[in-house]
Amino acid sequence: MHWKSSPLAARSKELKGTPLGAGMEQMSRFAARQAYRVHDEQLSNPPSRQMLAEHRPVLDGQQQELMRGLEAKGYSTIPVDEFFAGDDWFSWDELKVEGQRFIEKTEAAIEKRKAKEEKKGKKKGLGKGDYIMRLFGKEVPTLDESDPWLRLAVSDRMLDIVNSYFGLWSKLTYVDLWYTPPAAPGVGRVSSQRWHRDYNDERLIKVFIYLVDVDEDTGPLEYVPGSTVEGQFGNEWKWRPVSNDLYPPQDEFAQRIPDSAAIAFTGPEKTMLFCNTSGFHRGGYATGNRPRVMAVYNYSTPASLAALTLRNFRPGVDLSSLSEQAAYALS
Amino acid sequence: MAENENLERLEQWAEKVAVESRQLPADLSEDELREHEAKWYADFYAANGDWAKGASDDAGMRDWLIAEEDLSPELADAVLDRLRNLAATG
Repeated sequence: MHWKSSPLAARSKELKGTPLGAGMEQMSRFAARQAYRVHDEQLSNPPSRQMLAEHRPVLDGQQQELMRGLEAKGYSTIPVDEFFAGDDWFSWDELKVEGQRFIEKTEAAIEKRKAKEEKKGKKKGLGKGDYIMRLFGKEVPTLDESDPWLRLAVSDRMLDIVNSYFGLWSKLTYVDLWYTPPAAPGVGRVSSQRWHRDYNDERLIKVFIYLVDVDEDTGPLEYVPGSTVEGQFGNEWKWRPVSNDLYPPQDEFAQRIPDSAAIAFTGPEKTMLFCNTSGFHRGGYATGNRPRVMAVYNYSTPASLAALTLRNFRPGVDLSSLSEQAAYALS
Repeated sequence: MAENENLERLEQWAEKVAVESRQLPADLSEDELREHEAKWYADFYAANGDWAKGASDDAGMRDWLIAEEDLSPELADAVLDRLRNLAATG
């Protein structure tokens, strides 16, 4: 039973705004949590743990360093071309061209929208809901071997780290490019621009690859190291699947977790960041005049994909052409 | 397989709650709503207590329902009352 498609999710939607609505939403979350637990403890994660145990990768020094960062702080960074230096198929130039195409397409769409609004006499421009523009958006594209972004995501080099960190064979659940425009004047932080934990999994990894330089004014991801389950801030609004506390009151957050505990991931283009976003993070609040553009990947456990997370793409790859762990990540 | 049985029972429970919620009048009081919700949660634990119960004693279970399942203290108490009744009536 998947959270998003369960009968209680549908019922909760129907009852929104009625006296029973809030209770039904809680019950829908409750059911999702139980389904996640069944998959985590019994059905999906134990066999994938076994798969890793039977095929444990040998990490090189660079990968071990990245793993140490993830284990100790919840994140690690490295220039993407250094990470894939030994892989002939990797081409930064190819990614850069693809990224530039996405930037041009997005900026053309923004201009078109502005022109349309001006014609209608509106002066709305980008609003608070437009803080991330995506390559795929609500589409669910089929990605095949020719997709350069997917190729990175299912490379053994990436999966060896993600799987070792999870202690099991993971699932790739999300591939996209994000364009974060500068915030409109007077618009405050909304949604994931506020401190939160991701609901999907206790250990999940987001990988970001910067396609432009990201500085303090470009809406960098900010993160609280040590806020994952084992860390010093792990018990502050502790992670639970689809809990009510994923977005704590922001004023209370500031009192319990000092500003000095957070880090902003600024960096030049090519920066590659591995981050466990079940820890507290926020991002995409760009106060300068340049956009933030990056590739984004999510990996989670099989339990999360089975019960909580919807994949944002359809794998169109011949799985038999991939390594076993890559085929598993896409299955 | 036991694991699939657990999921199957969860799905059956969710279906039943969705159906029963459609039969409720729209003008229920807060207390009446809580009673229905308590019954649904208690039904779940009665059918899935073998794997889903957070604690074996009432005090531990109350803490679990509040801290781990986001129930209000009043709703947690009502669920425990229901579970006690179910246990007493077999």
